[in-house]
Amino acid sequence: MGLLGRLMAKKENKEPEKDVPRDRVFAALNKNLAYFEDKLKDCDDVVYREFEVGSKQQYRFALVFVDGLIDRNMINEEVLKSLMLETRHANMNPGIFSKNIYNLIRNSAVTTGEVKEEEYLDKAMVSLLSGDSLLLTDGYKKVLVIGSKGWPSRGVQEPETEAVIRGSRDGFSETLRINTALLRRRLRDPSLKIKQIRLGVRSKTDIAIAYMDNIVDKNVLGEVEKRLEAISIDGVLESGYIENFIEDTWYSPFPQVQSTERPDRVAAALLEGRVAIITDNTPFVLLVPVTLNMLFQSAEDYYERWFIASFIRIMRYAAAIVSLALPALYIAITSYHPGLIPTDLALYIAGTRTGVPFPAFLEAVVMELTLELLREAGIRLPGPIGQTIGIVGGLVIGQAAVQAGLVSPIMVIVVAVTAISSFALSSYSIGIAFRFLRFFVIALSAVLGLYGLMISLLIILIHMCSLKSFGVPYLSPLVGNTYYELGDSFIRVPLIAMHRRPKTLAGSNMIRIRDKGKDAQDNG
Amino acid sequence: MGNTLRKAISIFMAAALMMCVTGCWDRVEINNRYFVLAIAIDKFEYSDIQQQREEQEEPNGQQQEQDGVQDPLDSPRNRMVVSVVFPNVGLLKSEGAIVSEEMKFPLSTVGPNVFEAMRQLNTRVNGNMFFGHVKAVLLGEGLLSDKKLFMEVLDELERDHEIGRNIDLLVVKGKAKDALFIKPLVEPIVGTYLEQIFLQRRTGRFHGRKLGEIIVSIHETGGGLVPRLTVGENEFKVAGSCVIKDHKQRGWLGELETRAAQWIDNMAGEGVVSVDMQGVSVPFELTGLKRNMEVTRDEGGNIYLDISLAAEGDIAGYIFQMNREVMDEKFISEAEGAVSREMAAQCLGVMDKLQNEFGVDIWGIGNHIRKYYPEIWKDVKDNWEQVFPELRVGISVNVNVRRIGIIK
Amino acid sequence: MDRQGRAKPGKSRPDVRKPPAAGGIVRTKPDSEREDWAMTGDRDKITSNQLMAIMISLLIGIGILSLPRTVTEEAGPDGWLLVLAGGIIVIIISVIISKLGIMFSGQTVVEYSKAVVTKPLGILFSLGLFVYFVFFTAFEARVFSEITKQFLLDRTPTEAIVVTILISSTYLVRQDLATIGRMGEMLVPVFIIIPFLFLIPAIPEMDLTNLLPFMGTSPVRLLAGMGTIVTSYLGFETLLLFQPLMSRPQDAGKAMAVAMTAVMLVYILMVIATVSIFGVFEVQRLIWPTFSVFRAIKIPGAFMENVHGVIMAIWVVTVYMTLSIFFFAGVTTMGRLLALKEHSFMVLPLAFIIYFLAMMPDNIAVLYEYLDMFSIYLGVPFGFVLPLVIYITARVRGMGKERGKKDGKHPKKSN
Repeated sequence: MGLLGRLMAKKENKEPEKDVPRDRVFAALNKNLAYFEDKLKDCDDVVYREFEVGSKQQYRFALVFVDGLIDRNMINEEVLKSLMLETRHANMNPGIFSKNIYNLIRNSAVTTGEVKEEEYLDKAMVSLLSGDSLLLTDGYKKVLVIGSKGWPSRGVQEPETEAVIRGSRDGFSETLRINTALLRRRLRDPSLKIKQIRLGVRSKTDIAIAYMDNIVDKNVLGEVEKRLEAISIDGVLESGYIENFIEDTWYSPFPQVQSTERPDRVAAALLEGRVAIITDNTPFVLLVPVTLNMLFQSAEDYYERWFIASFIRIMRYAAAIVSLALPALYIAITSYHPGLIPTDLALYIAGTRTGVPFPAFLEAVVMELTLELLREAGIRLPGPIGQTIGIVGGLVIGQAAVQAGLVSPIMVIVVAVTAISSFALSSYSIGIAFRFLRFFVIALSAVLGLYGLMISLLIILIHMCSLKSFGVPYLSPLVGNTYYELGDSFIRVPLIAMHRRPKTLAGSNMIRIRDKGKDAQDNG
Repeated sequence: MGNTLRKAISIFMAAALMMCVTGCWDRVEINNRYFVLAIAIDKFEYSDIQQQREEQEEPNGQQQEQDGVQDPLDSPRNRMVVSVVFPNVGLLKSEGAIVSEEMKFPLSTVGPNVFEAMRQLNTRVNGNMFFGHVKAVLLGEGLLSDKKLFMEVLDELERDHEIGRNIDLLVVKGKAKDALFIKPLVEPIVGTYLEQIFLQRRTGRFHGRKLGEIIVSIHETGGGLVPRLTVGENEFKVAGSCVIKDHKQRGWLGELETRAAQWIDNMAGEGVVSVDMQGVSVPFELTGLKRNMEVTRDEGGNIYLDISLAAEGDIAGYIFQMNREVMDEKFISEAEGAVSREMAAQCLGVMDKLQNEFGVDIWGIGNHIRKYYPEIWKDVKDNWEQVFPELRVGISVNVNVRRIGIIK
Repeated sequence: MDRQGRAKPGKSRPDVRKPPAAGGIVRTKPDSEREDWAMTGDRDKITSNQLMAIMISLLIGIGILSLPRTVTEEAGPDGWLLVLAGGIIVIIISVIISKLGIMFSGQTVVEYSKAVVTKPLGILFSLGLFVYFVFFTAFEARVFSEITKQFLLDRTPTEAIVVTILISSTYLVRQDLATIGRMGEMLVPVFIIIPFLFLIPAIPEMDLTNLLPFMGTSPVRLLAGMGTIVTSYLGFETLLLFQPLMSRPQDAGKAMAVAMTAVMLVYILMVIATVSIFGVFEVQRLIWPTFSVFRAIKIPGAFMENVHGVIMAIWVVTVYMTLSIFFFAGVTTMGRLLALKEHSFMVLPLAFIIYFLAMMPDNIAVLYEYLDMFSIYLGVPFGFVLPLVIYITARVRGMGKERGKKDGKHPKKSN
């Protein structure tokens, strides 16, 4: 498979092995400083702050940090002030303290929340470049890594791509720690595990794997970790890179990994037994495994009343089918089988198409491409201009084309309805999958009519049937022995009725809602 | 895996390319299709071109032979006149296109059989003729008198996959072609006009069976009823029917007779029966009808057929006089009696006509016997045609008046 | 490295059929044993629901179109009784086949026939099965393209239609049985429910008295007519190959019984509907009465006046599944014969062979003749007779595992 091939190919990379540190800390402060200054030559945002501590200023320290990545206030107050000012008041007998001045500093003087020790300079440099500050002590072969991360961040804002009417407006941010915090706030259970690894040889991006320990399927978890560790690439700039590497079938247009910006969605997914992959520098969190059904769900479905939610879900499925097949159906029927529609409609369509110089499928393809162009243009243009261009452009072009007699008005309607239905889908990635597949379907039905349409739909269905996402068939719960999960697919049955977790996901713990009064023998 | 995938993809693409390059064979743009809504078929006779000949004032054969075209009268291939009509869709709605002002285009041609005649029309029509929306087929009287032609036409109509079985089949008194060439006032598109007449079904005066059912009945019994169309100046009248026996036309049934025939057939639960009550013509509107048939045989071998009809309806009119009221039980029972007598008389009349004058069982009484009385059927099935006129028929009608309007 | 992480033998397995413990927690099987879980993409197992779906979509193919005509030709209004009888026979034989599968668990017919009826005969039988599957695929493809050409695409050359369906079929056949099973699971409700939904508006036009007189035909004629329904029921013998691919092969018998009953009901309802609407005589005149029924239905006032378009579309899907499963069965047979691990490379060359076979008959009359001939001379032996023979031989020779022995109880005492 592709994954295997990639694994083999990467063995001959020329980058040094990821995690073997090589340079030990020197005892002399000057040597350490020289090391840093050499490695970080021409990095003018690195600050070296040397200072002396002690009643006779006999202990030399140096604080190295990257300006912009650190919380200045904390460094000033907790490190520099504590060391420089307040130790002056301490009674430091040289004899007692000189041996373990380092330990003293570490255990009692530096008043920050997070400190670590480091013995290797290159690992210390990675921490330095991640936003920690390094406290170098003259005469000791250890570096104190002080957690001082405080870079400018967007903070927690409403996610733009997944707005809801009812529900929290928290969205993930670009900082890993904020994201894990948002998750912790929703699941205050010690079995929520967050494991961190680093990916990307040069970017050394922090990745956190989050899961509920006694609900998750251990096979999936093992597989996730295996695939993540197999990634060997220069830089992981966005979770999309990871997504490309860990998915099962690279050539499929369907997403096999779900990405979301909403913490409540991630929390719900974790409770079902899925695994979340949080990446630094991006608010998009990956969720695996995923089925087609999950891509059609939105968080709001669970907050609103079940009847409305069911209705809207059915509409979403209908919209998906419309966005995939409507232009092709129109082409097949008008060009090949006008006997299948009622007479009045057939006559009317024929009437509206009188004088149109192009065959139906050419009209359809040209209009669809124009619409795609308009959509892309609308994204690039800033703010309100973008929206307006989209709508006005579409209307104006459509109307003008109809009046010029180049396209028929029904084709404009068909294309517009198709576009609207593709916007109604709740997940962007599935929307673009259908957008792309629409052309395939149009091509086949333009050649073979209704028969071609059915063949193309069959091929797409076969493809979906053969897809698996981390071992879970893509089309669950419609296939496999998972019929009770159907309550959460086309419709949404009331929460009272959702007793068990999806069998395909939950490893060992199936009960979601417990009957009142029974002893909750708790494994989870 | 990667290699075979590549191979599979390349083969698939080759096939796809091949398909796209050689063309979409069946693709016809919908605006290039002509939706034939009605077909009319006549037998070709000399009278068709007689008028044309007289106008030409030339000796018959010479002009034609010089052109290398055979005289139509001489060619044995010309046996039918086929006409079609299709609407002008451009008039329905178009912006910027140039279309003619005619609402519909009728065309007519001569040929050996229906199928070839249609193809011949393609020499004159600049589009693809599409028969999937044909609403009605009109057959000329002359065609129905010719058994062979009629059978050929029926077979072609059934064999073609585009022409559906749910369309109307009509006999035209006279030439069917004329029906297509008129310009109806109400609904200019002829096929739709016909279809909508049939959809109304407020009266029982025409036979409401579709092409499929008529064909089935002709198959099974060799006979049936076909509705009759009369062509007026700019309108149609669909009333009465034509009796078919042995795949040939035998005669006509009038409107009232057709209605009675439908009653016996357990159809046409709508219609108006007008009876004379003390000098006043009282219309009785039928709203529901049920028929029961019983067959018995006595020792002499005579078969008795008892038909009982149960009818329901409303009285729709009386006379505007103060002391004569409808809402009176005595009057109503009198009316019921009168109506039932009238209906029974009409039914007996048509039964008599069909038994004795035509001798054809259009109601499938034979089938009924076959299903419910297999012992009797065993004896009569071989000479049903002779047995049918000998049936002793008794008809009893039970009428119930339910409503009388809003005044007394 | 075993990516599936299967449990080592000898570990005790929790019995999933016990009622939940007092704590209300349901313990399912441990992850290592779940039947639908596999990281590798191939060699998945199918569930018994999927087997049912496969069988239903396999049997409902081209046979259903002409079935009302053929049975009415043989037995008049009692044609549906023929269908019923055929169905019962098929149920019995498929249960027998499933028993064979249990006796030789893990083996397909290719393997155990060698043991039961001596190796050369077994290989001959398997080869014959292969030939039979390939021929059937070809005929399905050809009949399908004839009907499509007739009703949908008039001027498209037959070759184009056959090539299209064969190439799209190869895409499915290259996958494994589990994918086919999932397709079946999704599609079977569609092509059973929708046609019957569309038949409902026709109920007023159905004249059930057309089915009288009941039992009017002699039993002799009924027996003679059994040959005609063979074509419509062929396909169940693929159980010979698919049973070891199930996750619980012992459930095959029940699943097959249910599936065959469903198919039988569908056929009977279709025959009854067709004969009721057209009458005994007309049904024999129409080549594909099932289609013509849908042409005759009109749903007034609805958007779709002509439902036959939808029915045609659904029927394309049905035949596609039938064709692909037959094709898959053929490929699997050859794969097992040659003891191959992966069968996907064989698919495309076989597709070419099938194409040439499909283009052999000259016209539709010849085609149906060939079809009948092959059904009777290939279908009946391989589908009905030979499995019986193998079963009887195996029982007589006392081969194969019995169900009771798996638990490690004492083997049966000889006295």
